[in-house]
Amino acid sequence: MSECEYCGSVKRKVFENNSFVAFLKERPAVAGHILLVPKQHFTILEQVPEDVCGEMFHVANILSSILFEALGAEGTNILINNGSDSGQKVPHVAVNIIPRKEGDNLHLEWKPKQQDKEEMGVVELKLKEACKNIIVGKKEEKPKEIKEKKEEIKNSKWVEKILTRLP
Amino acid sequence: MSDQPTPEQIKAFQEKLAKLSPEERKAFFRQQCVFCQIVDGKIDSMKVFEDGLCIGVLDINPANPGHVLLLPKEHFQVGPQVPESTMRHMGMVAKAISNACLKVLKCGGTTIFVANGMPAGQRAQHFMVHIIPRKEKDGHFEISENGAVDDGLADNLRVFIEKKLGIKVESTAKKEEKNEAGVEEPEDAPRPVKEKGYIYFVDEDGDVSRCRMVKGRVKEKQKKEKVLKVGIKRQPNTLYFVDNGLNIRMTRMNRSGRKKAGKEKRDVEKKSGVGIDDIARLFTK
Repeated sequence: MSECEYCGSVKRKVFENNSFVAFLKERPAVAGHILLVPKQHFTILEQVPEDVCGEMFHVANILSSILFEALGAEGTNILINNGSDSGQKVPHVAVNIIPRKEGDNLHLEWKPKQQDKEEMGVVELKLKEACKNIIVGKKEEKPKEIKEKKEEIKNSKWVEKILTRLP
Repeated sequence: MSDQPTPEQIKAFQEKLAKLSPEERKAFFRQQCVFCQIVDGKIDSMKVFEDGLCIGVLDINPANPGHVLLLPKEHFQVGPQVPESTMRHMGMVAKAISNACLKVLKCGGTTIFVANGMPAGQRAQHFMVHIIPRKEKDGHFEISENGAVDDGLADNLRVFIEKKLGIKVESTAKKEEKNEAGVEEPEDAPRPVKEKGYIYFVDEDGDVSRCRMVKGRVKEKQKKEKVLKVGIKRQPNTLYFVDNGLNIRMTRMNRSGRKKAGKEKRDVEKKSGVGIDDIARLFTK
């Protein structure tokens, strides 16, 4: 496996704690574009353990709040591109934190798509079914915990499989 | 959105707000905010997820099918107002929903997006996390790379963050100086290039080897020569080859044709986790 761009030492570091590093992006969208990456190597968000993921959002939120004050930003975007179809270029989970100003010529909006009610209904049902079992945090009942663990093991197995299959 | 309030109206509104007590203000915002009403169930929505702290609904103007808005139940306008516990919780839920999108909607990636403030593209007065299933080249969220690079900014920002959070972050600039003064770190050895007259392949150890070809064929007793040590683990049913940049690539070989319906069904059942093929597709590019 080739060496990961974000796993080694990074330049222009702005923040660090036990599990995360934040630095200014080499090719930023605007000045002050921060990338927050977990120190441990995860390729996509699905591999990131729950607590680390929560912490990541928390840290991103703090950094984004600081940007308002530090750079006089009028708004901030927090953006995670997850998977190559979404434009993820480096195989390491990273949170983009982008300071925004009026008229900065960044277009991070989307063109809304018109969707039939039927189609929406199908998607809704599918997602509802898939989200039914989401239980987050520590307040879990014991039997469910075991179930989740089993799933995690399954997941980690296929993740390993895929990773070892890669050059 | 067409009729903007006049400055007088805004002033009058702000004065009115200032008179309200915090509780009243909270109630007022709650009444005004469309998304709070969605949370309260006063407006119909396509709810896909709900727990004690947050709720996930489908966006009525989705970027892609399956565009989920994750809303905290309490009213917050922007991210900095959201307390730590809620933010952590939402992070975990966002990941789980993104996971569900990958599993169910056959997309090759997701984007998790938060906008704080009007210039960032926030349109509603309620903090939310967008989870958007992505398809290749759908044209959303192309982050430009044209911004100015400023090394001084990093130092300033680092100092600011250190002060603000009361932590110490080791400067990377100092390390670089040391390197310049002392021993220079060896640069990465240049990667060998493919030469003519050789065939390159992946050997048993998972490394790249090459073998001389004579008249377009490999003679039987030719010596194999290792070029690159990679050490990948070879998997069965997979074809490995070496591309022009001397990277190892692979494709899966499929012995059973797709026509066999029974076989395919069984394969689908096996996939209990996230769509493995979806994820694999993310990596193999």
